[in-house]
Amino acid sequence: MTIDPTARYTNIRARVTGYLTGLTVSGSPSWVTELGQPVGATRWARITYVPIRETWAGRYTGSQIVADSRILVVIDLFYEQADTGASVDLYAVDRAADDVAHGLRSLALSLLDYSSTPAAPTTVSGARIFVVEPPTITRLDPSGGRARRQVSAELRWYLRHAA
Amino acid sequence: MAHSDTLQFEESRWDAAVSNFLRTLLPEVVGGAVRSMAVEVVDHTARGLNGAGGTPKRIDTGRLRAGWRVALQNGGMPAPDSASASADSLPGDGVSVFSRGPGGLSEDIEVRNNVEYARYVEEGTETMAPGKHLERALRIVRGGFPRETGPDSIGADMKAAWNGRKP
Repeated sequence: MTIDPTARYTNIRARVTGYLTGLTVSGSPSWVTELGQPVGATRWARITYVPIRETWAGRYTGSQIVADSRILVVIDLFYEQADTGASVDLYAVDRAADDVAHGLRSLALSLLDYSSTPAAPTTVSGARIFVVEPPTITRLDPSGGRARRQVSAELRWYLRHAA
Repeated sequence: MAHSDTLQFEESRWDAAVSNFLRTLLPEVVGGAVRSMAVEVVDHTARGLNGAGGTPKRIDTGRLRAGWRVALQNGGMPAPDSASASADSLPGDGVSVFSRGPGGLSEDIEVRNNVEYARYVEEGTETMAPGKHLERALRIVRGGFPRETGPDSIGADMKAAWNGRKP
C-alpha cells in the first residue's frame, strides 16, 4: 500500500524546517535540528519536533480517511551572554525569539512531498500545515554559558490514509 | 367521568435535595474527574518517556518515570502501568497536593515530580533536545475535553443560563 505524502512525518518536518531556516532572525543564528550539534557557532537555533497525536476525523474521499494530526515544534535559541568579555547585544536573543514567534503566529504552509526528489519537492494538493494557537516564548535559564529562549507552537494538518 | 391530577412543588424538599447534591455528590464527582485527569496526564507523560508516539525516549535508571508513579500513589491515586515500578525512587521524588475551591465545588491537584533533573529532560539543555513529555501529555488530555460550543449545544445553553439569558 502506498503511503500518502501527508502521512510522512518526514515531509512535515522538512517543510517546517525549510520554512523556519528561511526566516529573517535577529543575530542570524546557525540552524540545527535535534539530530545535530553546531560546530563553532557562537549562536544557534535548534529545532525539535514532538508528535502529539492523531485523531480520526472522517472521510476525505471515497477511498481515503483523514486523521487530525498535531505536532509540537520547539525552537531553542542559544545566544552569547554578557560575561564573555566581549561586547554583546543583550537583547538579540529576545529579538530573535520575537522573530521566530512572529513567523509561526499565522503559519499556513503548503505541504511538500520530499520523498521522491528531496531537492525538488512537489506540492501536495489540498494539504496545509497550520498553527492551532499562538506560539509561546519561554525565558529559560542560561545553558552551557549561553542565554536561552524557547519558542514553541502546536502545528496541525490532515493526514490521509487509505480506507 | 372527569379526571384531574394535582402537581405540588415542595420548595423546601427541592432546596434540601439541591443542597445535598451540591455539598456531597457534586464535589465527589468533581474530585473523581480531576483525579482521573491527573492519572491520564501522568500516563501520557510516562508513555512519552518510554518513547511512545515518536517522542524522544528518556529512560536510563527509570527514576524520573517512577517519580510520577510515587506522586500519584502519594495522593491515593492508582499509578498507570506505563509508569512502572523502579527500585530507584528516592523519598520525596513525587508528591501530590490537593486543594478545594470555595464551597467545595472545585478541586485542584498538583502532581509534582521532584527529581532534580526533571526540568532538563522536559526543557532540554544545550546538548540535549527538549523531551516535552509533560507538555505533550497536557496537550493530549486538553484536546480530549468536549468543546461543544455550537448554537444547539447544551454547553451554549448552560453558558446562556449562567449569564442570565434564556437559552
